[in-house]
Amino acid sequence: MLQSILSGLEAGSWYSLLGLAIVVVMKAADVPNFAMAEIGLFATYIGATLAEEGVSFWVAVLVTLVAGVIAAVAIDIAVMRRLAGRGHFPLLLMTIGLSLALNALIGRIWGQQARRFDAPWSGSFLGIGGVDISWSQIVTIVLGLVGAIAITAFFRSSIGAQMRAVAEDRATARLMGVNVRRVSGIAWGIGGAIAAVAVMLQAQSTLVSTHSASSLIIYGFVAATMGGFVSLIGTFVGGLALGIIQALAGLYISTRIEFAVALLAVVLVLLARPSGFTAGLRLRDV
Amino acid sequence: MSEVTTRLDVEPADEPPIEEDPGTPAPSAPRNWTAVKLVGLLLAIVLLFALPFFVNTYVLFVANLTLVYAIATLGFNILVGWSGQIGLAHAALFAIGAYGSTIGVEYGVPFLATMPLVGIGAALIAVLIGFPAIRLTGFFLAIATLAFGFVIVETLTAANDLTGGGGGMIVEVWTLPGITSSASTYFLTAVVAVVAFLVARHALHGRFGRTLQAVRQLGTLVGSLGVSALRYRLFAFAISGAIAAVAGALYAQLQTFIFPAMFDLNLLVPFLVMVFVGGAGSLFGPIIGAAFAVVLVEVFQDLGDLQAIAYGLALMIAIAVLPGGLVSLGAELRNSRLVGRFGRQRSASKRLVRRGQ
Repeated sequence: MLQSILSGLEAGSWYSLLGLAIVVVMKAADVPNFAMAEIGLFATYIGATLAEEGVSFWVAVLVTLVAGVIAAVAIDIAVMRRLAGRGHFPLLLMTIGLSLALNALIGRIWGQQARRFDAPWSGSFLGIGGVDISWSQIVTIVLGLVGAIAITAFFRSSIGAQMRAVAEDRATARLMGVNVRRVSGIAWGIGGAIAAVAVMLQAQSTLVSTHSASSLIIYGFVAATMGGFVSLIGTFVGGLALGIIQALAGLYISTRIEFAVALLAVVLVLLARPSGFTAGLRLRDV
Repeated sequence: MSEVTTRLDVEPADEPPIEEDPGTPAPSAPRNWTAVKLVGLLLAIVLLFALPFFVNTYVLFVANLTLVYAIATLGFNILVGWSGQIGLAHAALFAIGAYGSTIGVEYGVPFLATMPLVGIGAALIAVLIGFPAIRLTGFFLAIATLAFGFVIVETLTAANDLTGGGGGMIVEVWTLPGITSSASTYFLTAVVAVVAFLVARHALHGRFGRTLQAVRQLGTLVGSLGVSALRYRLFAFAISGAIAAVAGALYAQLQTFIFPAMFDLNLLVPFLVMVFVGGAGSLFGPIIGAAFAVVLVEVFQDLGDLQAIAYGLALMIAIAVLPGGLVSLGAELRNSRLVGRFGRQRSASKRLVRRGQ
């Protein structure tokens, strides 16, 4: 039970972080990015390959983060910012196309074989009160929390305010002297880095592959939905709740339907307390 | 393959430019234009039914698959394009049609009778999915309906005794006496496609389609006109679900073997592609979108990983270059400076004079 909740919190932290990456890009660049998990996977594979070649762990981590930032900013500059203001669903489809292409590209470079990115603490445990807790879980949960706090703090800074302004009204923000392109690039860079962290954390405790990326993105989107695509706190809590519900559904019902149960629970939450969960959620008037 | 392309080329040509933007009320078309349209439509239908007599099995399969997808996308487009609700349970409702009809046939129900049955059943399920989700909008509706879709597919996997679970089940193929099973499946699909298209055309260009658009654009404001927005939103769910299930039943006949993993995101994403690449909220969009998706997959079939890369890139290019979908291609070309200069660019007033307005 406790073990399930812990692993639920761990998985929930991945979902939260990926959801936060999606929300950051959504807030500042107004793009629902379905290719976020692939960006993270691409960066993680680069780091894992370096680590396998004997590069020291922390250098590999640094390279992974930089790769995530570069990949995301490159996508923004090459494709997405040219299509700004197209509306959410065309852009969503655009990123779905991007995720298909990136996923296949990653499969072509590294193959379909699942990989790990082991940290020095992977596989070691901390015994508290008769329960063994793996260090990967602790690191993931703590990093998830730190990441959420850091992003929230960032949005209160000057650039964060500019981002909110751009998301609110692109044209007016521009008139007020906000460099929209720079802001959008920064948001994509941050999103790419967070996505790289999310997939890296997943890879230090379990196997990741092009398949795991395509399911991870759904969880990330669900977490972002729980936060109404605007609330960082809502996204973070939503992702953690998703992870715990999923773990408990896997424990008490069946691991095969844990995904469906988790999604249904989300729907029930959305229906039962639409405005209570986060302020960003809007009801349609009927 | 060329026959397929010709056939598909005929249809967009029938389309009058006035249909490209469903948001604006269409001016009444002059009589001779209607006659041209009618002849074109009849020609397309004749070509459609003559196809099995002069192509090989592979081309017939591709054409059949295109038609099945076109029917399913027609239903999806009513929900997504015309009523503006992003409901993502479509692939699961398609699966209900495929499984419902296959299981029905196993229990002795004649195949032709299973099609309306799965249609009604899926319409009821679609309303159940739509009813709680109808209070939500945008991404929330998308996630909620996606969840229900996953539950349906997982239920199909779990119902081992009835569906064969994840291993799938063999479909008993319905065959007309005297012709091959693939030709009979094709004829049946073609009949359903023509009926579905004509009914949708009649309904969407009439009161129903205009009300759906009004609901999409005005929301509950249509209540002041005496129209229940809720009822029309649920109508859209029911109709799109019914069409999805009928298409699913035909899909099972075509594939002859079905398993739950066929109906997850791997199918939902292509459905979305077909609607938006073809042109959301247009009548011919689904047909063009389905042809685009099927031909793309078949052309790049031998390339392995490159197939997915090409598919993704084609989707991106189509959306970046043609925001209105492929149905808007003609108008985009006419309006573009490069082609317009060499082509028969006329001033707007002359064009209106020619149309007799």
